[in-house]
Amino acid sequence: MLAPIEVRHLDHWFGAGETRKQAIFDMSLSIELGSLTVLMGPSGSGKTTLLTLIGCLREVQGGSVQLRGEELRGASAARQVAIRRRLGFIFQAHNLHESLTARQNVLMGLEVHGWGDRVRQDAAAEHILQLLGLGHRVDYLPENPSGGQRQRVAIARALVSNPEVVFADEPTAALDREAGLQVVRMLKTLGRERGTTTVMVTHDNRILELADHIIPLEDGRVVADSAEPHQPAELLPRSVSG
Amino acid sequence: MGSDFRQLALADRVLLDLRTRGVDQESLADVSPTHPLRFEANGVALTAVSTFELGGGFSADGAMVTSDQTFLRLFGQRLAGTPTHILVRVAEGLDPALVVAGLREALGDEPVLVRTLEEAASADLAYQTTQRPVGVIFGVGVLIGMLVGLVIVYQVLATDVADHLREYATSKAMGYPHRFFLSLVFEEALILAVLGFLPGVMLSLGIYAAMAAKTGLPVDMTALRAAAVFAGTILACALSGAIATQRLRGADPAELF
Repeated sequence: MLAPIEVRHLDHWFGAGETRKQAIFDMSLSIELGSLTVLMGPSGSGKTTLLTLIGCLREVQGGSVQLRGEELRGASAARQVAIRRRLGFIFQAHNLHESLTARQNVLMGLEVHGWGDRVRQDAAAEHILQLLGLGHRVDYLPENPSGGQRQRVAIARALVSNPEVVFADEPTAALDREAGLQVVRMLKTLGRERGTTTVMVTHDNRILELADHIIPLEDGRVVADSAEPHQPAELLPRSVSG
Repeated sequence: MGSDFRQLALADRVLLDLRTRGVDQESLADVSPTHPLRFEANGVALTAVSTFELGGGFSADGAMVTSDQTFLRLFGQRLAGTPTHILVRVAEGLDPALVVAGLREALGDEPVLVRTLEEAASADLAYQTTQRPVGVIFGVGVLIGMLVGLVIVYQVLATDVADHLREYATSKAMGYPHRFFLSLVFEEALILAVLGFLPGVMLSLGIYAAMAAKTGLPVDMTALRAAAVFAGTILACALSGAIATQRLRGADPAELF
């Protein structure tokens, strides 16, 4: 079976001319289907850049990134849009549409797919909001719920369309311990039941304990002593931290 | 007014325009052959024996009807047999265009311009709006109004796009295509056009009525003119929207992380 994400000899630069600076250096890794993989490292280590590259949010400049066997390098703008529809994104700043209710925000994650009729969409949106403990906040505007509730709406929006891969940036930062664990367990359940792969940037130690794989990054490189660059996702057991 | 024309056969008899600017209508209301109004114009003593309603224009405050002989006494420099306009009444059932064609053929190279009433009105309108300074000023005013509207709508749309850039970027990350955002901006431009047009046309109707009452000019908002203004409003807003969509380039989903 194809790994959902295969990265080979990835290079990436920012800027141009004299100010051009390399952020990713010859990076290779693969991420298993249905796994919860955590990217970790200090600021400037390249974890966010890597997340945006494999999330098809930036153009791949050097090397190769494949999502389920589909090469992202050289993909047209229309192809990139089509690929992004198969993915889910959870941002640290949740980025909800402030003028829309929780339900409407979640529906945005379905409408882009033209998924089912309105009744089915409504039912799916309510179902996932209830799973995340927001059944009583379905028709509230995002400005009213707490930060944790807003983040859960954003998570519901990312997961409602059953994406193949979920990319998350500090998704539990605004959640208390129990809510954070609940979200991570949910992602793991999705991985186990539907094969949804999760790639996450986090410093939350609670999540590190639940991660299937941890990929430590530093200065745009994977930190590892592996002699086999084609099995990089197996670099470290899940207990590695820091 | 037809029966009053017979009064004009007498020397220095005139019919006065009741809607002449600056004239008290009440003082003219009872003018009749039995209650004539005597006055002087161009050094000639005249007698108004009746009134009619026409109104002024850009070049005159009102009108006065008199016989050709009285006219020549009023304007000594004008020659008999050289009228400015000759009104030809076409018998019922005849096509004015055919009469005009016949007259043109009959008159040949004579220095006479033969036109239907509509053609003459259209030519006068074109002259007033494109040749006369006041028409040119109004035309430039319309252009400036359009430009100001275009800039204001652009500012509203561009500010709105800037305010929601993160939301647009989020939607881009979710897989919404660029045309979705273009349609949003154009939809907003269309809403602004409609919401701006409705109070605008109401205000214009009030201003037109006030202008007509104040100046006596036959200004009115025809359905065709309102439709043209609406089409222009839509066009200007769409253009503003097209320019404002350039701001969408700033919605980079990669910057959300």
